Amino acid sequence: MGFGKSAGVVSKRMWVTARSRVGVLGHLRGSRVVGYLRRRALFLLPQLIGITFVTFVLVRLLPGDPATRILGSLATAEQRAEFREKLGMNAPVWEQYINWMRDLFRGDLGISFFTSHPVVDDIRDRFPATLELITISLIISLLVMIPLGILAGRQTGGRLSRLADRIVFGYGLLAGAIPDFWLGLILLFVFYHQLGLAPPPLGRLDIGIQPPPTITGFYTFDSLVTGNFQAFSSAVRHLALPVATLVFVYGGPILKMTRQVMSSVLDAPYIEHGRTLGLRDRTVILYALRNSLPPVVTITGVIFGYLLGGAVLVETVFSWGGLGQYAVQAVQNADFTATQGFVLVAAVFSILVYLLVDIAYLVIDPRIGT
Amino acid sequence: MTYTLYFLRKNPLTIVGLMIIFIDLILVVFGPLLVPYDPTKAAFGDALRGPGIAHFFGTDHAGMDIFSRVIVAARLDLLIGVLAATISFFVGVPLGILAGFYGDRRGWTSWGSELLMRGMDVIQSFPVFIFAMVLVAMAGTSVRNVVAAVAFVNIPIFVRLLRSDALSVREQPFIDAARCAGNPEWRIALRHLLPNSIRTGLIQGSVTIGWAIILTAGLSFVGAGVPTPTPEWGLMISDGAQNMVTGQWWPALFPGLALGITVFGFAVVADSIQRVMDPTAR
Amino acid sequence: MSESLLDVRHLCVDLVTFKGTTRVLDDVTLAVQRGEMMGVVGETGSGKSILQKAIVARLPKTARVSGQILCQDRDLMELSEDQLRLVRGKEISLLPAGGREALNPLAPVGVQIANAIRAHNSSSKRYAEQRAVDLLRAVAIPDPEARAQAYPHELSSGMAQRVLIAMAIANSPSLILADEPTAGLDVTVQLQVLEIFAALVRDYHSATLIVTRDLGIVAHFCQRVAVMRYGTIYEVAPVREFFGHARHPYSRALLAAAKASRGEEMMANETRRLLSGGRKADVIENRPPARLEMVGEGHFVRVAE
Repeated sequence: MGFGKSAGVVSKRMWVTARSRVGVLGHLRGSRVVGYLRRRALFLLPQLIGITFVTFVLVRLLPGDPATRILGSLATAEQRAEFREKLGMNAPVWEQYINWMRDLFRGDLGISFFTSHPVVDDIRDRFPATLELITISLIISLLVMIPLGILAGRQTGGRLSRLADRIVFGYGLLAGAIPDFWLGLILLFVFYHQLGLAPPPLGRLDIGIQPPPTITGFYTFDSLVTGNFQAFSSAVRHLALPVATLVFVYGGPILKMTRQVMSSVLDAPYIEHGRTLGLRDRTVILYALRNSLPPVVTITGVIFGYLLGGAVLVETVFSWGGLGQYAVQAVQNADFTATQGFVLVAAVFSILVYLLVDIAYLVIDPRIGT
Repeated sequence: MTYTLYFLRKNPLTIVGLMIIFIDLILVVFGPLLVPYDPTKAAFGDALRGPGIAHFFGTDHAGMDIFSRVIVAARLDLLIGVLAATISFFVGVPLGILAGFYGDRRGWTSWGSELLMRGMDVIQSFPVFIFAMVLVAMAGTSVRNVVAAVAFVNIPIFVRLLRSDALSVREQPFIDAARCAGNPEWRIALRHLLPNSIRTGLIQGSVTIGWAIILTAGLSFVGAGVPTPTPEWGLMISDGAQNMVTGQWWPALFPGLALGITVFGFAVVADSIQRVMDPTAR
Repeated sequence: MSESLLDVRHLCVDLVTFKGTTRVLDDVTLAVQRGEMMGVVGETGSGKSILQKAIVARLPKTARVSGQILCQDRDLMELSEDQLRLVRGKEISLLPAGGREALNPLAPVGVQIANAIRAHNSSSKRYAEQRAVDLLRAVAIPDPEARAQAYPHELSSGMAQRVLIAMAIANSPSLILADEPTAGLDVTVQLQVLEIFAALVRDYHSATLIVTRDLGIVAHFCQRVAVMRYGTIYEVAPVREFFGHARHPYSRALLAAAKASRGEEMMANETRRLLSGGRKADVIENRPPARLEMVGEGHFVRVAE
C-alpha cells in the first residue's frame, strides 16, 4: 500500500505532543519577537530625537516675525518685544530647543496662537476624526482591492481574466495620477449638487445632530454602541464621499501590489511543483495567498502612513474638522506651536505604524530573524 | 528595437502615454502662443460663464478664460515637476550609490553611510505632504521654494532605491575583479556601479516627475505652493472649489483633468519603460 | 495488453515566442517498462526536462503539442485537466530539478508532504501528517518527527531533496520521473537517493525515468538509456550495450568525454562491473522508435541524414 510502513514504528504520542506544542506559528519561538523589539528599540530613541530636532529646525526656520503676524502690523515695538519675551524667543536657539524638549517630556506642546488652547488638547480633540476617516478608508480599501488584486493576479488566461487585468492595470496608474482633492470636489458636485444624495461638505454630522458620547471618538462606533441610530446614519452619510475619495486614490497601490505579488508568487517553482504533484486547487491557492501576504502587509502599512498626510487635503475639501484641517489652518495662520505639535504627532504616528508593519512581517515570515 | 515595436503594438496605452507627454511638451514650449486670451487679465463682467464657443472651458470667478489659464499653467507645473525630480535625482542617486557601496563595512565611510540612512529614516518619518507644506509655508510661498521643497522630500526615495541596488551589485564578482586590477574604490563605484544602477534611477525619475506635479498642485491648493494669481493647476482648483459646490463645475474640473491626464501620461510611460527593459518578461 | 508502463509516440512540442516558434521536442518516441529504471542523458537544452513536463502535461501555455502519451493504455493527451490532476502525483510523479525552490518556504515540510497525501486520499490531517513522518524515515532523514516541523530554509539541500522524494513517492506512483535527482548532492547522499529509487522499482514493480547528465548513475542503476539532443532521441539501448557498443557518433562522444573527465580507470571499472552480470534488461523493445534503426537487440540508433 505505501512505502515506509516497514520502516519502523512511529511514536504517535510524540508526534502529537510535539505538534501541539509548537503549532502553526511555531517559528515564533518566544525570544525572536522580543529580541527584534529590543534591537528596534535601540534605533527608536535616536530616531525620535532626530524627529524632534528636525521639527524644531523646520518650524523655527520662520523668516517672518510671528509677533507681527499674531499681534498685527499695528503692534508697537514694545508689545512685540514683550510677546517675544513671553514665548522665550529671545533666548539662544539651543536653549530654546532644550526648553522645548523639556516641555515635550512633560507632555506640553505649547499653546496654539490661533485657538488659544493647549496644542495637546487641540490635537486630542481632532485626532479621532482623522483616525476614523483613514481607518475606515483603509479597511474598505483592503476589502475591495485585495480580492480584486487576487483575481487579476491569477491570470487564468481567459478573456474575462485578461479584461480584468487590463482594467486593474489602467486603474492602478490612474489612481496615482488623479489628485485626491480634485476627486473629492468632483464627487461632491455629482453626488451632492447634481444628485442630492450626499450631504453638504460641512463636517462629520448633519447640523442639529448631537455627536454621541465620546467613547472612542469615532462617531460611527460610539453612536452604534449607544444605540443612537440617527447619529450613526448621519455619520455614515457624511463619511461616504471622503472615504470614497481616499479609497479610490490610495487603494490603487494596494491593488497593484496585490496583483503583482499574486502573479509573481503563482510563477514560483513551488506553486508549479504543487500542481505537478496534483495538489488540490484549494491547497495551491492557500500556499499562494500565504506567500503573498508579506508585501501586502507592508504596503498596507505604508499606505496607512501616507493616508495621514493625504487626509489633509480631503479634510480641507470636506471641512472635516480633523487633524488635517487643523494643520492647514495652523500653517496658513503661521501658528508655529500648533504646526510644531502637529508635525511631531504625525511623525510619531508614522513611526509607530512602520514598527507595527515590521512586527507583522516578522510574524508572517519564518525566514526573518533567524 | 524590434522588441520595443512589438511591445508598443501589444500595449496601445503606452502610445497614449507618449502622446500625452508630447502634447504637454508642446504646451510648455508654445503655450503662451496658443492661448486665445490673456491668462492673467481679469474681466469681472465675464465671471463664471459656462463653457462655450467664446470660452472653451468657461471663465472663473474673476472672468479669466480657463482654457488659456490651463494651457499656460501646464508650463509652470511641468517645469516645477521636472526640475524638482531632476534635482532629487542628481542628489539622491550618487548618495544612494555611495551609501550602498560603502555601507555595512568597516571604516569611517561605513559609519557615514549609516548616518545618512538614519537621516533618511528621520525625513521619511514625516508624511510627505505635511513636510513639504510646512517647508514652503515656513520659507515663504514662491516657485523656488516649492521646487526646493518638492525636490527635498523626494530625495530619500532615490537614496534608498539606489542604495539597495548598489548593495546587490557590489557583491558581484566583476567588482572584485576590478579591484584586483588595481582600480581605486571611487572609480569602481563610478564606472561600474553607476551604469548598472542608472536604469533603476531613471525609471524612478519618471515616476517622480508625476508625483512632483501632483504634490505641487496639492501644495498650491492649500496655499502653501506658488503664490496667487499665478496660473497653476492646483491653485485653479482651489479657486474653483467653492464654485463646485454651488454648481459651476468648470473652473475646478478642467485644471484637475489636465493635471490628472498629464500625471497619468508620465506614469504610463514610466511603467512601460520598466517593462520594456525587463528581460524576463519577453 | 502491452507491457509498457509508459509509451510516448511521436511527441512534438513547439514553443511560441514573439520571435517565432521553436520546436523543442521533435518526434520523440520512447517506452518505459515496468520494473525498469531508464536514464535519459543529454546536454542542457536537449529537451530532457521538457519531455518529463510534457508527460505530466505541465508545459507552459505557449506550447503546442502533438503525438500520443500512453500510460497503461490511456492517452494522457486526451484527458481533461481534472482527470490529469488525479494522475499527477498518484500514477505518475515528477521529482523536479529545483531542489529547495520546489518547496513552499512558509509551510513546514511535514505539512507539505501531508498535503501531497491528502490530495489523492481522503485522509485526515493527523493521519496524513503521521504518514509524512513515516515517509521521511523511509528516505533516511534522521529524527523525522522533528524534521517534519522544519521549514525548507532550515534544511540542508540534501535533506530538502529527500523531502521532495518523500512527496514524490507518497502516493505510491507507478512511474517516477526524476529530473536531475542527484545534482548538487554529496556523493553519499546521491547513492542513498538512487538506492531508494532502485528499491521502489524492485519492490513495487514500478518504473523510473531519470534525467541526468551523469553517465555514472546510468551505468550503476539503469537498465536502459536514451540519448537526447536538440529535442530528439539519438539512441536508445540497454545499458551494457550502450557502454560497450554505442553506435551513434554523439553517444560515442559523450562516452569519450565521460571517460576523459572521470579517468580511464574509473570508467573501466564501471564497464567491467556492468559486463560481469549486473542487472538484466527485462524486455526487448519491439517497435522501432521514429527515425531510429534497429542495430541490435533492443538497440536503436538514429539514422544519419
